[in-house]
Amino acid sequence: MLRVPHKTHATSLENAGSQNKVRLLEGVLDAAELGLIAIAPDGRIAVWNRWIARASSIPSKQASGKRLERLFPEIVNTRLETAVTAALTRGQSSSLSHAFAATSLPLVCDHQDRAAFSRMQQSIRVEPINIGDGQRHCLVHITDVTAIVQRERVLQEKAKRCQELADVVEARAQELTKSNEALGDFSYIVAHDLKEPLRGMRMYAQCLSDDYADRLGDSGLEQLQQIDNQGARLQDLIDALLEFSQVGCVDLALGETSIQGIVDEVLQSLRASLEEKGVSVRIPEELPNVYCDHIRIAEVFRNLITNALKYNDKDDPWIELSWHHASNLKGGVDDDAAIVFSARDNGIGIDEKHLESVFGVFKRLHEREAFGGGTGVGLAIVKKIVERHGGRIWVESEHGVGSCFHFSLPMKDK
Amino acid sequence: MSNLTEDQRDLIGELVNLGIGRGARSLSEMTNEEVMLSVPCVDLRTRSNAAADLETALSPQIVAIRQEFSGAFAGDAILLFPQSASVELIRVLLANNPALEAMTELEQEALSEVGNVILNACLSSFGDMLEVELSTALPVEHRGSPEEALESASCGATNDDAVLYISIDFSLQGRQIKGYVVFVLGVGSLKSFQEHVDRYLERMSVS
Repeated sequence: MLRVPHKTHATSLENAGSQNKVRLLEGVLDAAELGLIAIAPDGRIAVWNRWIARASSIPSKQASGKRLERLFPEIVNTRLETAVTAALTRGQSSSLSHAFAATSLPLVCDHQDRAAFSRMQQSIRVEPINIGDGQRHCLVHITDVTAIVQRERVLQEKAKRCQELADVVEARAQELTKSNEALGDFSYIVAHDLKEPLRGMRMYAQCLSDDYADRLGDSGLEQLQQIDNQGARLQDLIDALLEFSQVGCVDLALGETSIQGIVDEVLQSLRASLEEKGVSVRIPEELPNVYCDHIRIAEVFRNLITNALKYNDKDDPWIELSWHHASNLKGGVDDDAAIVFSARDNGIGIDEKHLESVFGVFKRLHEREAFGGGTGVGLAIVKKIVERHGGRIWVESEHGVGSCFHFSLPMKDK
Repeated sequence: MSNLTEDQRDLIGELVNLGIGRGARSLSEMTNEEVMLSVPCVDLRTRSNAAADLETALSPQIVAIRQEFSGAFAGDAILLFPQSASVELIRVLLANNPALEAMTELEQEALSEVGNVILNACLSSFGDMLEVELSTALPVEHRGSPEEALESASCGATNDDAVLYISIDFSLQGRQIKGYVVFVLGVGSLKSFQEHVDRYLERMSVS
């Protein structure tokens, strides 16, 4: 509750005559950047400052001595009227927020640019004043919050739109998940169903070759062989497509995994090929443990090592497997909390213009049967596996000198 | 610290229930939503115990609305919510967009009014029934720990002084939100308050 002392100790006021004191107080009230209405114990207006006179278009002389509800009949039975009564009769202070049901006075903003908010949005405080004569007055403070309301409406609107967009993205993501699942099922069914007639075609081609070789002649047999070769090729492509589609569908079995252990297993399984081509494998530093899917990451290493093995025409082929913390390697990785593995070779290298496209599905840079053939899906599968772990894969290469494939894996489960 | 007798506790509980009921009606009218408030617990404890209990019951970070009161007895009435619950409460009352992370300036002001309505309703109930006059100052918002909120009381009470400790359950639109009201009474005011409560009990027994 606001208490005004009987006698002020301010020297300037003591020295001034009572008339000057009144003028000074009126000046202070009129200079205030908020509306101030003082209401006497009998409910009549005692003070009406310049701010409220301007906002209400009711001059002070016209308002003085009137009851507030006479000037503004719309406040009858509102929180404002209740608050004024509570302040005068019980000494109760009230804070009336703009946000709840209408309490405000019909005041108008004097700013032209607030056309949409020409009616002023107000925050009102009602406080009893004890001036020492035993009777209680009431002070109503009115603050213009129109600009704040306008700003918060824009903010709310933006937040609402962001929420709507987030909901749309979420719904689309769910649709996409469903459609991916359906596509996975579809790929499996198609692959399975295509393989059966394909097997039949190859079988009948074989029967023709066995039973009618004498009537077909060399030319006919060669054409039959071509049918079988094309069929075998188609079967490889279907198998590769099936494998690629399943990488995206099957849940990862994540766990703390020794990458050195994975690489040892892969090298063991490829030992015959490595020895046949005389490839030396260098691992300068033991590879670390990472949180990943053991089987999938083994596929990544198998693919990269097999590629390094296949695409090498040097007399002393080698492959080097190493690792770094992402922060120690400039560029390429956005996540500092990742480990980057690198597989470097002294193979045939990749032309700069193909550096990005090598990770595409069915992408082969050479003749179909060159360098041992293949479906061209291997690196696409590798990329998909790495990305499903939250990592990235990229390649640096110099044509004729060698390539270095890098891929990152987050250090912890994301 | 003097304890409350069973009769005193019952009467204070009744007075708070009466006030809280009025507060709930006012909030319902303001928001056009059915707001139910109930008072499961009224107790007297030291300020430091109350702060520790509030930290456990609510959270280390709270929002408090504090109002000074004066008259036959003086002190500070404080309504406390966990910060997250205060945002939820005000968003439900105002039907505002929940996507904004922090409470906006106008939402804070609205929360001040909610506190103002509840605290004024409780103090009016004390004033009306105990036939005393209690004036209140404007509400002040406070953010921080419960201990800081209780220390912000301006009535000069210390850690060992008794405070009136009241839990309040808000029920609105199927949600339950827990808050507390603490009355920190100034020096001598607890005694005066208890005397007024006893006088009322005597009047009741005579009639």
